[in-house]
Amino acid sequence: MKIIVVDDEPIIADTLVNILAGEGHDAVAVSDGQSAIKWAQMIRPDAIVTDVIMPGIDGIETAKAITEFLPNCRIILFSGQAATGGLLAKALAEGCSFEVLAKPINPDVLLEKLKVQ
Amino acid sequence: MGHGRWDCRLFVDLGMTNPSMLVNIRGTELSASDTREQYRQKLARITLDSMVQFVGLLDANGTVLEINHGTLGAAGIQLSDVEGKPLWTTFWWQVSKEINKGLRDAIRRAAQGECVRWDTEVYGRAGGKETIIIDASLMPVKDEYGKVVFIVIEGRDITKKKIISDISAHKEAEEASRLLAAIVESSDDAIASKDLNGVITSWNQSAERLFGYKAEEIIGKPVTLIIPPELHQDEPMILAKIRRGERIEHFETVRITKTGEHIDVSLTISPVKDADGKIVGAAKIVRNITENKKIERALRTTEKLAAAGRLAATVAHEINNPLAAVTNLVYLSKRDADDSKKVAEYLDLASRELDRVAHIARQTLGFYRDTSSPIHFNVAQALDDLLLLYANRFEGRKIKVIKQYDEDIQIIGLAGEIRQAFSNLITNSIDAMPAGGSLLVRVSKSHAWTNSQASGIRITILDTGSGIAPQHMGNLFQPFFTTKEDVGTGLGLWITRNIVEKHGGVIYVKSRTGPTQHGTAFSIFLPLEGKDNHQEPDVTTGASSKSAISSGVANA
Repeated sequence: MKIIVVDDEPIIADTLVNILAGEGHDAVAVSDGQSAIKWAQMIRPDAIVTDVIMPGIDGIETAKAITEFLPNCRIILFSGQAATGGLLAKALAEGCSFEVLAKPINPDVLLEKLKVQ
Repeated sequence: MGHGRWDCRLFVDLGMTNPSMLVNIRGTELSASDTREQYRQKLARITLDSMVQFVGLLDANGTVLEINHGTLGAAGIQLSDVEGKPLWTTFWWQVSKEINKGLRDAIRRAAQGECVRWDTEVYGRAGGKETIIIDASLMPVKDEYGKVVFIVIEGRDITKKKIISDISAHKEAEEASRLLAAIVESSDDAIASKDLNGVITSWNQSAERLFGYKAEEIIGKPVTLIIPPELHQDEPMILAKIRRGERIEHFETVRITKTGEHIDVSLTISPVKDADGKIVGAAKIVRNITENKKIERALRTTEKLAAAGRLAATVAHEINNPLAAVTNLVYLSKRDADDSKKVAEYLDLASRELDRVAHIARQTLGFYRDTSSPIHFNVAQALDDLLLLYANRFEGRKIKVIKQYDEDIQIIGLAGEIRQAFSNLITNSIDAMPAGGSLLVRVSKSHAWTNSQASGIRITILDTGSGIAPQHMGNLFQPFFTTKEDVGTGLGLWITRNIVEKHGGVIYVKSRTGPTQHGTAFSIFLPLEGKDNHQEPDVTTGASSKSAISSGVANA
């Protein structure tokens, strides 16, 4: 699977990419939403794993932008912040519902999720 | 028109039918042989003498020339008793010095051509003590050249009228005071009065309701009855102010009811004066503010809870990131267990992340306390270490770092704390530049801004970020003040200021929020020899703003 991992904390993005690569995925790490959208246009990933609260475009906006040109792209959000609830409610009101995992994510859970289509 | 016809008519008018009969009125004899002129003069005399009001003629100096018979008779004197004497020396005008002077002033004015009219008190009879009130007037009489030669004095007794109007004024005053009493009685605020010894002299219905004492049971008792014992010392202070004629407004204190309940009240106490203006007591309006106080306290608790909530959210978030990294690193360590080199690398990273967690816990929950002793340390080196620590974040945000270090300067202080103060400023700058910018870090030798004798160093941390809105400048150093609602604890600058002050330093901020010119500069002055370094940081006094801290906004 081609996966883009988005987190403004490089160590989280990098370790996730390492984990995903170990399971045979073709994963790339980026540190913000804007880069994620650019990469998505180039490599047309099967899934996006992104943090929600980030400087610049947040994870939900990023996911919405990507699903516009890649409607079948899997979106997995992860967040450890209360503010996420408000953002998700807003996204839901606009007709987008996304899977959200609590941060920190258990890598096994993430890998399981990616196996289930 | 013949002379006889005049006579006839007069005699008929007087009710006399025999024209040959002589008429004598108070020594003025009318005779049929009088010429018309004599006749008219006699009539004038009779008119004057018959008048009951005071009528007299004075010369321009106020000397009595003539006074009517009615007045003289009523006074029990002869014209000769007063004729040729200045009017103000006559018995009528000896009631008081003021009344006498009032007449002399009036005569002086009349002599200058003015008509003068005034109400005055005069004696009614010579030798008597009874006074009457007259509506007096002086009319100047001028000769053909306009010179005042005579003054006509008139006076009408208005004593009865005056008494009647006084009675009605008194009635009005009584009515007004009844109305005032009704207002006081029906007021929602408790209104009471006390004398200068603190003894209660009046007590309205609201006071009865508020304190539970009936008027009859508390009037005459000391006011300390409703003051909690621990506040009794306030009463002499209040009474002293009242004696000086001062008013006490909205004095918030506690009072005690009959049942012993403590109530929060706002007092307004005003001195009460008697008719002579002497302070005889105090009137107090007592407003029950217990409910307001409860709401205020609830609000404060809510604010504290909200602040604690924000802090908890921040800690959760700040700890989540390193935790996520450690979770992944543990997973990788297990996966690559055979590759000891890789595992060592993961564990190394994991331990760094755990350090971060520890640091966050220390900073947000405990206020970083450096228990070590002050040491000589190199400020530029400390800043370099920090900049290296944040290198990833600078890179991620495309922030260009410019360093300007004068020379290597050593100061004495708690290295850990000072590093934290710098760190808080640098992370604020990073947060202010989400889309990149420049960060200038400057260290130079300097003198204290307030004391050129004290030498030290100045550290400037300047960013080209969004800047601080002018309305936030005043709260910048307050604890729990943050504009970063989701991620800020609002403690960073407060902690920074505490650390700087603890080292005898000062922190100053300038900021611009203009469209092209924007950014923030923090300057810290630290003396070369830190002061009071052994003292524990005092977290409780940190909230009070100190004069050493000043902030200003540069022209945007």
